[in-house]
Amino acid sequence: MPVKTPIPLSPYTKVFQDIIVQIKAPVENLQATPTSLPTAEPATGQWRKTLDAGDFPTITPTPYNVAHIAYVCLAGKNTDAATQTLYWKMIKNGASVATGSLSVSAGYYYTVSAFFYGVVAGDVIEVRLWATSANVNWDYDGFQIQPSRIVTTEALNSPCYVNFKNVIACPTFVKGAPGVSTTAGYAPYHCDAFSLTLYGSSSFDVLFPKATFCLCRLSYGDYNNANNALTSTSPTYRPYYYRNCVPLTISLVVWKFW
Amino acid sequence: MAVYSFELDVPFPEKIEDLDRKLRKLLGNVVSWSYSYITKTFTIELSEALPEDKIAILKEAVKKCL
Repeated sequence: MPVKTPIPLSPYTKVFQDIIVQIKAPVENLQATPTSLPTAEPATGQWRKTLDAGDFPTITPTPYNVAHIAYVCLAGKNTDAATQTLYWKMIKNGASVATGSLSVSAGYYYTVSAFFYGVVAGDVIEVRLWATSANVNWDYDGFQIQPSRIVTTEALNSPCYVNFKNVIACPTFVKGAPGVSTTAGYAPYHCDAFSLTLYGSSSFDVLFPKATFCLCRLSYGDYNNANNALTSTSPTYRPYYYRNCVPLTISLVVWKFW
Repeated sequence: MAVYSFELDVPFPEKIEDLDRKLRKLLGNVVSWSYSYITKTFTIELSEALPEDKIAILKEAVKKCL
């Protein structure tokens, strides 16, 4: 007797998934006494860290792809009577990532928000600061790793109903005298094409995640300022920093066709 | 404030102080600038917008400072 393949009643199956992101709380330090900056580039960064697996967000189920952004925020003050220039440089595993300068008015605070894109456990990242006067100091640092470009094996290259939920603006820094300069939205992607920027929960009848940009990208550190830094000054706030909107839950219905 | 960003297709120095001085002397109203060695993107923020004819030559002016 020939074996007949049964004809399915439906030409597709549905896979239900909740991608849950548990992002680590930011790590902050505020020095009791500010440290003067050198007037030449230091040999090692004022802030330097070997990234540990425990620094990274926990994502369940284990995604097919995730790109991690290490956000390093350094801040201090120009106590000089004149405007001074602050220089900064980002280093990853001994190689220069980005550099730049910033004018800081007398008596103003400055903030350098550095975004290292595509970091993994074991990477050594550092930020160097120096200035045209030793009267420019630094006394604040903050750090957090954020996830971008998440997709699961089941959802990759499949049409999905997607609900981005539990969207939070992060990091939230509390030490020093913090102020938020700008909060940027996340960007859902369909077939690796950018559509819009969102700041809260949102659902899509169909997204088709591809391998490059996956389900969505974060703003700072990915589609803006990847492997670069943003700088800001303020007479009041230290740090005066940037935040990303991060969806912590992504509910999927993946359509798998026969 | 005005921000201009473009790709630089020439080697960028590791030591930046001389470049910074040249940029500030040339443009006069530099608030900040940055360069990514990874993406080769140069971004400069000026306190006042440049006239249209100056925007067109900004990239060449920056390259001359390198």
